[in-house]
Amino acid sequence: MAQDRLKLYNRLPVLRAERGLSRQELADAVGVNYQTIGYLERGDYNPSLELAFKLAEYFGLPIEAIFSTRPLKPLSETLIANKQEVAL
Amino acid sequence: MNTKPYSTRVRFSQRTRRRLAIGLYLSLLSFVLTWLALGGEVARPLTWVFMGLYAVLGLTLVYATGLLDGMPSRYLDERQQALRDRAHRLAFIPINYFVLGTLLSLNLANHWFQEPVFIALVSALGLVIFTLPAVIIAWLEPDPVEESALPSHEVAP
Repeated sequence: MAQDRLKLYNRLPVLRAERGLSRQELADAVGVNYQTIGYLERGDYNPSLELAFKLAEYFGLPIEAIFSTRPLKPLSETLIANKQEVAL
Repeated sequence: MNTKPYSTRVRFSQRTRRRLAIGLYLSLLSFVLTWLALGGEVARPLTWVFMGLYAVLGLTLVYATGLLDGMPSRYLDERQQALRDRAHRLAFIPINYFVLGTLLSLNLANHWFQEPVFIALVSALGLVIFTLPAVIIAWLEPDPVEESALPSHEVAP
């Protein structure tokens, strides 16, 4: 039975790949089942605020750099855009 | 105490799990229909076959769902707990009607409603079914927060 819920986009697969982490390692780090990481990455599950904070803390990034209600651009593109904004 | 989220070694696809679930209830239906159609000693060997099948499929399904259903919360993460609680919520209403329907059918066959004990217990069951979730919510929900009770730094300007 499908539930109406907000579609949440995330950068978890990229962040995990950048750090060479398996789903199991990330799951162990934030205290969830490794399948939960898979469901988060696939967008099948939206995390609680507590889990979102744990993930943000683990990656050392603000929550909005990991999760967004809009499709996320590549992190490098976002960084360049932010730098250009600051330069202006 | 180990509080790490639990995982079964083998994972089953959703398609396999759904097939197992359908097979499980088909074996149960076969058991009931065989019993109703043949009855007594004639049906017994066949019903044992269907019950055996039900047990095997049921145990496989419990394993296939990662034993989530009966697992204490400390072994489950937030997603698994939400899934387990949702499953119990969805199962609650059909099971209620099934139990009430079974008791009322038995009454029609045996006229148990003439017994005060039966009347009292079935009435209590029927009434509890409709109020128990609300009672649990009433018990667990904290006091409401009044707007005026918020500290000034928590109120948006």
